[in-house]
Amino acid sequence: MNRERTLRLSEGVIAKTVGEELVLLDYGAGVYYGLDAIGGRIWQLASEGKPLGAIVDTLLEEYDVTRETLEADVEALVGDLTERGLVR
Amino acid sequence: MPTLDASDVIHEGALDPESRVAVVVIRRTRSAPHAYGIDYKDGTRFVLDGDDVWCSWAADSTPEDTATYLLGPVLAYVLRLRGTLALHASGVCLDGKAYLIAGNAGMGKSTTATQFAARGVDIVTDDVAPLVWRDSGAFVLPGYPRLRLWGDVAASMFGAADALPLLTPTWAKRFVDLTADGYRFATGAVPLGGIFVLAGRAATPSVRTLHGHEAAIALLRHASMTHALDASMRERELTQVTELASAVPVRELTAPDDLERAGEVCDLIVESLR
Repeated sequence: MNRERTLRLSEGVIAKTVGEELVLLDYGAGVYYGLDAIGGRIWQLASEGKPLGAIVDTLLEEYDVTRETLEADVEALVGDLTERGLVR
Repeated sequence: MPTLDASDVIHEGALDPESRVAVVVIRRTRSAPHAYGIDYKDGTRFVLDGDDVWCSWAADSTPEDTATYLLGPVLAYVLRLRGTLALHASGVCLDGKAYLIAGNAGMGKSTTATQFAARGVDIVTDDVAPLVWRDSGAFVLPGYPRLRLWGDVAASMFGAADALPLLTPTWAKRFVDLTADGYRFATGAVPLGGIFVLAGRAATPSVRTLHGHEAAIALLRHASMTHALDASMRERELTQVTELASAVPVRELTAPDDLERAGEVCDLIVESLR
């Protein structure tokens, strides 16, 4: 994982929380996406400009999970968001 | 009637799965940004201009045809342009609260509502369910006192398709008149108790509660006229729907694939509220 990478949220993507989760609207594509509580937290931290390393460090304090598992989960989500054009 | 000479097309395609005419063109005028035009392919044109709704129609159309458009997609679009969330749903009143039954065309919204109507339950709306927020929460505004059914459903529930009158002389859809004896129709706003989304059919009907983003996205799929809204309206819709999904229970229903068993959906809804 590139701990220094900062995600740039794509323009035209609107995010709203519902409970602890998040709904994303890609307005241009007209598609909705849902993120669970951890995914929503990652989006929130990324939108604050935190690099991936800082996001992982923050989540390690909030969730009972190993660094290895968390890094794999964050990388998978970032890959998914990038592939769908929601972040750069 | 205002003209729409210099205008930009903001939507072209299917307006509504239940629309009689599958393709319409919606335009926004450049000179008056609050004026919109809706052109149906049969020649009917609506112009929404501020508080006015204008309409012209082809010589072979009937007033009932035009009323069908007006009371369905056109007024739903007026509501959406004014910032009122409207779901593609029927509404019934149980224990003083409105429960919406949302779903795609053909999933059984009106059929389920008609089953409730036959049981003496107040009907709140059919097809378009406008939602407003008051201090105590979300309320459903009543629609007009009719339930619209296809002929096969009318035949199954009333013995023969022609037991119910046609909605218009030119279309096969029929209606139940809720002002007739034995039926009840809500006369004012009803507090929203919950939303059921008809999601599929199976031999054994079932219900499950949706949470978080799953609930919100299920509702977003059934918001009226979403595809004809601009980015700021879509953002507002997202806010309204996420608030709604947090405020009331959203449940997914699987209905039996047999009209003769349509009453089981009502039983399931009532049971899930106990």
